[in-house]
Amino acid sequence: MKSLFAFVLVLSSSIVFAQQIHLKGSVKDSLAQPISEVNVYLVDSFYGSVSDSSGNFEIIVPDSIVQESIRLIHKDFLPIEQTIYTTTDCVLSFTLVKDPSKLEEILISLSPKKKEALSQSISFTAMDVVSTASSPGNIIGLVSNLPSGSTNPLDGRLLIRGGDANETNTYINRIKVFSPYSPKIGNTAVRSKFNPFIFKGMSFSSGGYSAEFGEALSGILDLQTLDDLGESRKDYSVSSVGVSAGTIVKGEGNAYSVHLNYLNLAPYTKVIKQSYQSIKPFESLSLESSFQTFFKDGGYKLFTQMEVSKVKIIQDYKPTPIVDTLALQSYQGYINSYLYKNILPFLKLEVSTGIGLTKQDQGLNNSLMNLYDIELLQKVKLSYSWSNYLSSFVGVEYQKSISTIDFKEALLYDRLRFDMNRFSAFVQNNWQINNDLSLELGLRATKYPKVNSVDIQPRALLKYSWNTRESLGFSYGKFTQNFDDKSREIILKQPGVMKVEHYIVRYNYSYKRRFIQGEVFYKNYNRLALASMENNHEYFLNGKGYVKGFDVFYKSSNKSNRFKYWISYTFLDSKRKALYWQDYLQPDYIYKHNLSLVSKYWIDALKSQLSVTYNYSSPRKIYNPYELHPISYKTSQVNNISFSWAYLLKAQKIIYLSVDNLLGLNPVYGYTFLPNNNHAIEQRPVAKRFIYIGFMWTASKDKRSNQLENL
Amino acid sequence: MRKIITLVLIASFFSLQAQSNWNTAMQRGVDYFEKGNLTQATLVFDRLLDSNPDYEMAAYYKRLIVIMQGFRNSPVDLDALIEDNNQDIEKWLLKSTMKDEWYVLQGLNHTLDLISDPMSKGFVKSPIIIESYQDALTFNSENPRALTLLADFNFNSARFMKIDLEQNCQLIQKALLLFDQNTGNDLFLPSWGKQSAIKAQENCSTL
Repeated sequence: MKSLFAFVLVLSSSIVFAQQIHLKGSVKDSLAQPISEVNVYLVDSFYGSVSDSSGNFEIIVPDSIVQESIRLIHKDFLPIEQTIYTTTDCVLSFTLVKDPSKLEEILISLSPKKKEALSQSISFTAMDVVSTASSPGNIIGLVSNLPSGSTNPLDGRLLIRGGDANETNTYINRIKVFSPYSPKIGNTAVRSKFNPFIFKGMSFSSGGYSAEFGEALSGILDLQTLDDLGESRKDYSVSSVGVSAGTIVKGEGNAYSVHLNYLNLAPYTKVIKQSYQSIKPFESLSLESSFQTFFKDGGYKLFTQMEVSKVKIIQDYKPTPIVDTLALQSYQGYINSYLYKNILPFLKLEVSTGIGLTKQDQGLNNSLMNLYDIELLQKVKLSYSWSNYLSSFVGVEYQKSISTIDFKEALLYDRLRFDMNRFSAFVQNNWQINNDLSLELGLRATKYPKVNSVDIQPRALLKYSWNTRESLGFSYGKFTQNFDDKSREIILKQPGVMKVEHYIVRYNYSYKRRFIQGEVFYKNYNRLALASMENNHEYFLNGKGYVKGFDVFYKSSNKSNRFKYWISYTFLDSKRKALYWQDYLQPDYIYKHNLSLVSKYWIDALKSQLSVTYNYSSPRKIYNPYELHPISYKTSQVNNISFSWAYLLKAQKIIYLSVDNLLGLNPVYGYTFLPNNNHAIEQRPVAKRFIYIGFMWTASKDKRSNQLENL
Repeated sequence: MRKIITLVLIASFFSLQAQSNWNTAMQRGVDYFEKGNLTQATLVFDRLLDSNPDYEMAAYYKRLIVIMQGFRNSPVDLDALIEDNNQDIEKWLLKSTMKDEWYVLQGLNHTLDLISDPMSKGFVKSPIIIESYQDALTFNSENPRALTLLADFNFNSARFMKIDLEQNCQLIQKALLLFDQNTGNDLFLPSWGKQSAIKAQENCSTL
């Protein structure tokens, strides 16, 4: 009887009476700001409500008693739970604490951008560029940590898969950029002159690229400017090398941004000793602006960049007594215009224009060289989707470049003019044959005025994906490039272009947070420029060469995405009979082995992101061009550790520290050879370490936005 | 002995009550979903998942709503949303007892990706979408949603390629029959999609 009574008692306690209890309340954060969209509910019965914009909520419980826990959940805050016992209406108040694991997401992540990736390419975002130690803000620095990418330690320019720096081109909105680097002098290194955060996506192709691109024997870097500049804001920064200020103004259907950057290395070079003596330390003023507007089924983007730079240094060539005074004054302007419109639902028109202007005055002791460059590139492209399985694009491209170089030496005056016109047409079909197999077939034709024939370049990519995670691709392509003969020392006696064939096999595995890629490649160079045996100023296109090798890339992150890393290794075997040498030699920019380890770690407790990068490059072989027979000089192997630390002082204030060559190693990067001098003059880093310290401040209505992305 | 019986009775009562609360909440969520109140439905499914992350039905409806809202609202971070959906679907495909329904969601999620940029993604995504629906039909050849969405996707592709209209209309006919045969034994098993099948059937009027 007692048992039955107890059971009935328990049962009766849960009988629902026709009575209601109102649980009202409010939710705030630790700064007493109301939180909206908090899901508030009773744990057992699941009755609940959601907080409004004032942080208020109300739960109506159809019962005469509430005796259970109330729980509050929100995606950005830690959940809380509290036991309630009440038989009447009551008012509650709660304070939620920010979920530290969401801090990273709010502060440093970029919203993923759509990438128009190239076939057989690796895509990355601006966040990758700025958060990688050894490449803070420098797109080229990041690419050098990817498979088949490296930089020439002597000038900082990008080298791709056994090609020299001239064999790589940079594109913005599918238009070739004529001068993608900051100006350089002597042994100082260049860097990419573009702010990575104006680009929504960047694709790096180390070969086998689409028929849309040309004039690059080795690889291309394709940068796409942002479709959306973001909310209105103002950014300011001060650092050990300069100051900058920028603004973004967003209107109805359009937006523009202006960014002014002033660099002056005078204070820095006074503190950190450089291997050269500065008479006028590097100083530059640059202005970058973007404008974008949208209309029905299309839009227009205009990007401009202007830069004025000055520098004057004295460089010695120890142990010889030779000392040179080098000076540079540079004015550069670049305009990139891009119009796109869907003419029909599946027919897209793109019109791109690039204009580049350069004036450079270069001084070497008492001689002066004035360079004037005007370059125009116009491209029109039509893309059409025939079906879900077949799409095509077709386009034309025209380039006109005029370069004038004035040489002034004592009483001598000499003027050279170089014209380069080119007309190209391209077509490509992308065909998804079945679920597993796809084929891309392209053709590019180029006509140079000085060459009678039309140069035809076929491209092909066959890709097989036997499941959603793995694929195997084979690509083949012919690529051509004009030989750069803008020099008094070079007379190209044979009209034509240099040629190379690429054969690439690529395996990809991608699952969740892991990405593996392996490539085996072979490049066969034909018609390289080679000096004649009788006159070493006269060049013919009868040089040859090859590059073969493989690379491996592994990228991963932990579950919370706080720790990310990648490993990249490239092996190269290359020989060329080109330029000064009639024998097959390993080119002086080739590293046989190149390894990069990149890691990034976000630490909640320190409100910091740390990044460490390690690079290893095996020794290179350098030859003295003034010797009749090749004698190789070996450089050191390079071991470089870089470190960066971004500390979030407050939501919109950041302190940033970056150190390159942390261990202060002093390897021999290369050798300089002078005419009539037998010395191989060692080239080492201009300073033991490069140290950058900066402070960034953002003024925006969105109190969470900051410049961590702009480091 | 009586004490033991009492305790067992009380324990089983609480267990039944907890189950009843789950079912009531789940029913509330499904009701909201069927009436198109996706915000309220999401709140309920979030509560159920917060309480038990392994509750598959709540996870299924939550993910379905996220995908549906993706179609309606064009979220800013669409790529991230699609990736989240994909990871969640893959997770459930490993352990689910209703894999066919998760494959249907996978097909929908890929479709969401496709329509974000049909020019460049149509080419790659179409075979993947069809494969997802076919996978769903491999696990359950009588899944009316997989039949409907597969046929509907083919109807939409008819603008660009030749399709077998009759065959796809047969899929729709079969789907409609299956929707009507749904006995509703399990209240929470997915039953949505009939209206889509009726709409897709309009393509068959020329036959």
